[in-house]
Amino acid sequence: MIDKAMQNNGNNSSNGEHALLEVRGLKTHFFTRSGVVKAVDGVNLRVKRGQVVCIVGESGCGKSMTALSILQLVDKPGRIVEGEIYLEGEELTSKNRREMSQLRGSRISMIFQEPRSSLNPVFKVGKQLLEVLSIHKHAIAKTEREQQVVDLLRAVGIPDPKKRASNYPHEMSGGMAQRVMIAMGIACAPDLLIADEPTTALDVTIQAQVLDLMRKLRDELNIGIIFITHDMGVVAEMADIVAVMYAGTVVEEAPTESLFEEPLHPYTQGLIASIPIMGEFKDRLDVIPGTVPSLIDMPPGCRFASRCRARIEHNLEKCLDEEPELMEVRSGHSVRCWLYEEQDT
Amino acid sequence: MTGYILRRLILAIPVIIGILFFTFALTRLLPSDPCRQQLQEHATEAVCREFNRRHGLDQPIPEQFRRYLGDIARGDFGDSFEYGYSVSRLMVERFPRTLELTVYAMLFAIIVGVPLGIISAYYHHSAIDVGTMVGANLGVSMPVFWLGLMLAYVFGVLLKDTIFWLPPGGSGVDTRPFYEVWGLSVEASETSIWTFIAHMDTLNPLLGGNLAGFWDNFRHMILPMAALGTIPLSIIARMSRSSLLEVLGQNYVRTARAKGVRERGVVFKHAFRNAMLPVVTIIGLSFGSLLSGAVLTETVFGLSGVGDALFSAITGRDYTVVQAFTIVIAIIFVFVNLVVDILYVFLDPRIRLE
Amino acid sequence: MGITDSAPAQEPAPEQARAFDIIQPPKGPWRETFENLLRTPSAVVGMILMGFLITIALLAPLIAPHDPFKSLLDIPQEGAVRRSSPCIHLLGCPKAGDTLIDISGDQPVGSVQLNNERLLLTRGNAVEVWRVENEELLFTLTHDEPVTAASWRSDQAILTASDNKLFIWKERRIIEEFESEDNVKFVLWSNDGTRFISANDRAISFWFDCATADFAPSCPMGTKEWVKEGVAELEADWTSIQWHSDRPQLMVASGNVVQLWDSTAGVVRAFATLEHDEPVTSALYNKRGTRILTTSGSTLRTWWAASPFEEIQAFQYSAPLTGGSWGEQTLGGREDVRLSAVSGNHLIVWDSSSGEQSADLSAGDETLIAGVVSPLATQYAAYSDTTLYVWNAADGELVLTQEAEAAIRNVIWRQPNGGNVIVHRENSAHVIKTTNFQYILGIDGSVRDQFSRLLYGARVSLSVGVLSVSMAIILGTVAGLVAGYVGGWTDNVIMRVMDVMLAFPSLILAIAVVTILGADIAEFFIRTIPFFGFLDPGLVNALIAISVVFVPAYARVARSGVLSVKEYDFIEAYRALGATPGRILFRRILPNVLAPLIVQATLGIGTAILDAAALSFLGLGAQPPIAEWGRMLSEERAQFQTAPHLVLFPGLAIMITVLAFNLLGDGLRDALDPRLNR
Repeated sequence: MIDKAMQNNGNNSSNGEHALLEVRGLKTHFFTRSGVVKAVDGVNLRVKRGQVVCIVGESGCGKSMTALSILQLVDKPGRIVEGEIYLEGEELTSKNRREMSQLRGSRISMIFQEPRSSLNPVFKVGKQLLEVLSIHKHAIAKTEREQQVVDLLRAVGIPDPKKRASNYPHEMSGGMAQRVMIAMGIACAPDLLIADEPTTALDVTIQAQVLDLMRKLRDELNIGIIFITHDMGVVAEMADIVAVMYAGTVVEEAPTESLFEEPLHPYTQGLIASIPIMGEFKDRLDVIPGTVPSLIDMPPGCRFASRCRARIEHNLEKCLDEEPELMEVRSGHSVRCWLYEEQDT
Repeated sequence: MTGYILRRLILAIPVIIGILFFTFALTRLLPSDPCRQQLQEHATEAVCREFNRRHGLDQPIPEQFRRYLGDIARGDFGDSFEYGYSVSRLMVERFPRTLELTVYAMLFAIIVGVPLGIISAYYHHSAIDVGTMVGANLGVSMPVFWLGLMLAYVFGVLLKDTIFWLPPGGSGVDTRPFYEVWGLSVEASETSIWTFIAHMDTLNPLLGGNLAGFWDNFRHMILPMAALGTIPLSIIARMSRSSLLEVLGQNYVRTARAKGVRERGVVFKHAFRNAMLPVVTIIGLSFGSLLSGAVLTETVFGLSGVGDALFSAITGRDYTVVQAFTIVIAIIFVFVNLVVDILYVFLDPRIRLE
Repeated sequence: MGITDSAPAQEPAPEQARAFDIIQPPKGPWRETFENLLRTPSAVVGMILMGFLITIALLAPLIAPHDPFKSLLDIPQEGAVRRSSPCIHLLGCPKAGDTLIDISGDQPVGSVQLNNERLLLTRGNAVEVWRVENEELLFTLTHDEPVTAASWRSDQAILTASDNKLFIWKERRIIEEFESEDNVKFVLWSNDGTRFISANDRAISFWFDCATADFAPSCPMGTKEWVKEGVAELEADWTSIQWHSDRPQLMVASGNVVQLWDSTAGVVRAFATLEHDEPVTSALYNKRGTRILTTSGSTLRTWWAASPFEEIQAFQYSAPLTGGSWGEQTLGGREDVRLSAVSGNHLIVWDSSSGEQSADLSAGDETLIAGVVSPLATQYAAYSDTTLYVWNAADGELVLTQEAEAAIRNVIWRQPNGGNVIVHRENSAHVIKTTNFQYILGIDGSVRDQFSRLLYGARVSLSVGVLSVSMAIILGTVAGLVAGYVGGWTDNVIMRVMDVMLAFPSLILAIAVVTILGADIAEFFIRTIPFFGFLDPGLVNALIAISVVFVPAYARVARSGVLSVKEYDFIEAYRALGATPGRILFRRILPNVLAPLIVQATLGIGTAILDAAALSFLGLGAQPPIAEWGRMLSEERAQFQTAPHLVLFPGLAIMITVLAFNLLGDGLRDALDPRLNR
């Protein structure tokens, strides 16, 4: 039945020239009364078809904003001030509102963190699902669209989909609602699915089911997924590529295995160390000391410098004065840290 | 859902009984007793004894209340001694006009207020928004009667001899009852529904096909409507704005955008219905201010409606009329809020579960 | 305010306080609230407005330029401009001598008449009608030949004389046309409009409209037209002609006599003659037509205008007198007290009740032609050939000397109370302000200074708003606290009563309550509560009614507050410590529901002021002469078409006051509601 939903998307042959999504130097700033909040400050990202790219980071590091920026859904007073976003070579930031809304839901779709509040409380879920199809696939007959809604609900594992379609969001559990959201996300067989902490609000068993479902979708539909989370466990389970974000920038990007085996950035090391491991007893979890610097007046130099143990251990002066570039330390594994420049030279 | 509506209905019953009891108590608490009140200098001891006996005022209070309820249930509100005929007939004469006035004012308030609220929420912090909110703040601070007089001055006096001139008072021409135009041989007694409809200044000529009469009468309603509608308009505009602003920040609005819904669809389909929920409640509640305002507006514009009758009844100490009209107005208010509550069920699916 | 004092943290003994630190809700962040408030622009505007209003209310007796309750007519030195357009000081009000209205043209003005703020003047071949108020030429009646005289009837019909013809115009069209004698230089309607006269120097023709009488001796049977009743032949040129105010009698001064003519018997005859030794220089009926004033030689005389037509008083002066005038024509009990005349460069005023000369005012060197006392005798005007002089009646101060090239033909007071005159010069007509006294926002229908009344109104409205809401808060909070705390049946009964009250639209309920309250209850309140001393019983009733209407709102707020706080652990803890319910309610729970109550109260004051104004507007609140804005509005409502400023300003005052409370209330709500502090 997923094939059926895919039928009308003929041009999804993998393209060697372009990555599915390429984000270059994205900056999204919020112009507030107390100053300019640089929520996203120079993010680069590449997603290929069939790949799951995880963006990891603490809350407020700009990972959700990066996702919203890709869809150009940043609310006022925020806006994208710099950067380019290419979807299969097509530049998105220069598109107008109308072109963007044609793109949303059909070629890029997004799933949000709180499924129940993300569904409109006054419409039946079936209707909300149908709306996506009505917008992007108006060529199909209405009855067929309605059939597709039921098919989609079944595909995401909702039992008795026909009956469930006429439920209101408040009549569903969180897990069910998130399945509806996912169904909505894949309804038009998009090229790229952005999932913003889709499992955070769910309990563990449901979480596993949802993750399974997403993996299955990736395999069956050959789509690219950007998966945003702060849960390193989920990252390990889902990701092909991991981008670690800190204070508005990507500080490390690597294939999952490489990252877990040998995290390079001191912040990533801290993150991985803070995962509680089953059977291992710790007095207390390793916590990264200090807090994220203010996004309004970012100090010069490395953004992590004030919390970095490695800086003190290696006695690096440079960290406080100059910001490092993202450099590829080994194949596919890049990091934004002066430590590795030292090693190279 | 039926359960919910039923529960609402049942809850309204004690309120209505309370209203009846309150108005009953009102006449018993008056500074002078009803006999002396009505008969003035003819009220001798013997006459009053007879008067009290005839009106059951010598009975114990619970018995009096029982009779009073019985009378009202039969639609008998007593006689107005100022007009010299039954209060029911007075109501049939006066209510249609007030009904039309309040309905027009409400429509005006909704039709102007809701879009204003939406526009200012959508263009948050823009000049339109600031202007609308300043206007709305002034609107809720204005005395209705003053606004009425000022409108009458601007449109009735300053703009005289221009096309914008509007009659500053009065209620237009009398038109032939529509049932006569239709050639119906109905028995239109003074308190029948036919007479009630025929007393509607604008509906009656419309039904009778008399467009000139309709237009003339409607023109007389424009200024009162604007004066009366301004307060609810301001309240509705403010409420729509703040409610829509809140809704536009909700997650499901973001979802709608992410689905590819166009901006207009986001506002009018997804946000609008949610934003209107509190507005509907406010509309029901501001009906009260409309009914209060009708008294003032009709006085200012010399429209002989309920408000005008109530006003002259107060000044003329015609307590039967005051009492009856108070009851009817209060019951209408309760009824409107009941309708709003029930309407809510259809607008907000979350309520049905409760 | 003591709000911070009642916050719950300070009460328990130190060791207990430690224990409660965790379980108590945070202290009311009053300081933070205030800071938040200062950050909201609308709340700041509200606070500024409120400060302004409170200052006005407190200082009203000091700021108010006039007594707000008394008619200015009772204060003679103040030459009032009756119901004049408002004059805002900042924009620069006209001073004495300023020309308010200029009706000049390229041709000389022949004659000038004033009628209901409309000015009729003849100029060349035309009669022009101007609206004085806004200097607007309403219409022009054009003739083929020069117009020599014109007169205006109260129904706006205009009589004109031109080229030996008389015309009656109505609605700008000629409706009648008659042949007349030669050289008509004066025409005059009688006051009832059924007659007129046309006069040259020696002959006065009497005309009568037969259509207005079923039978009249002058009219041939069946005639429904104008007839010429006859001609009064004079022995000398006339100096003044005047119709009696009620009767069809014409007073004519010519030579040494003043004659009273009448034509009702079908013939024109002089039925009375007032003989003088010397030529009569002026003659004038008083307003009611009971007396006649004449000047002749150096004597000013008053006469009975009815049988026996005898002299009443005579006042001698050292030099010949002209231009006699009556003063004070309308003030009850003080009619015809002042008389004036001019002589040389002097204006002399006599007091007829004492028989004494009360003023001898002189100005310049030129001979004065006539003096005119303003109808309410607040000012005297006199003119020489080219100069206009105006004195204040009370102190004899010369307030205006105005010279111009062109000769003055006539001076007419525009308003009964002085203030401006219409000066007719050879080639123009002007309205000139004659007093420096200014009524910033004009004068109301009872001749009181609107500005002063508005200032005093601030006191009334603010106190009614605050007092009624305070009463409502006390009653409502107690009811709500008890209902919420006790619960069960008590709660049910109290809240159902509140529901019933809420079922009435607020103004309707207030009206109902006011009708129940008699004067006794209001009196009781005024006697027992010191604050209420300066309010009148009607207003106190309105105040009580409004507070009754508001009780449910506060009861609900208090009750929901109690219900949300009641189950908190800290209340349980207090109960466990053995605190009495009363103590828990008022020392522990009340402070926690204070924030929403304050918001509700601030917003409520605005509504209370509006409702009080509405009740007063309906005649159920404040009674005259109290300066209450709603009452002021309803008193002046009848003339809102001609005097809109008397309705505009009280309404604006109400709006600004209510706005101040609304803005502040909204600001407070935002500042106190953490949900909105994004």
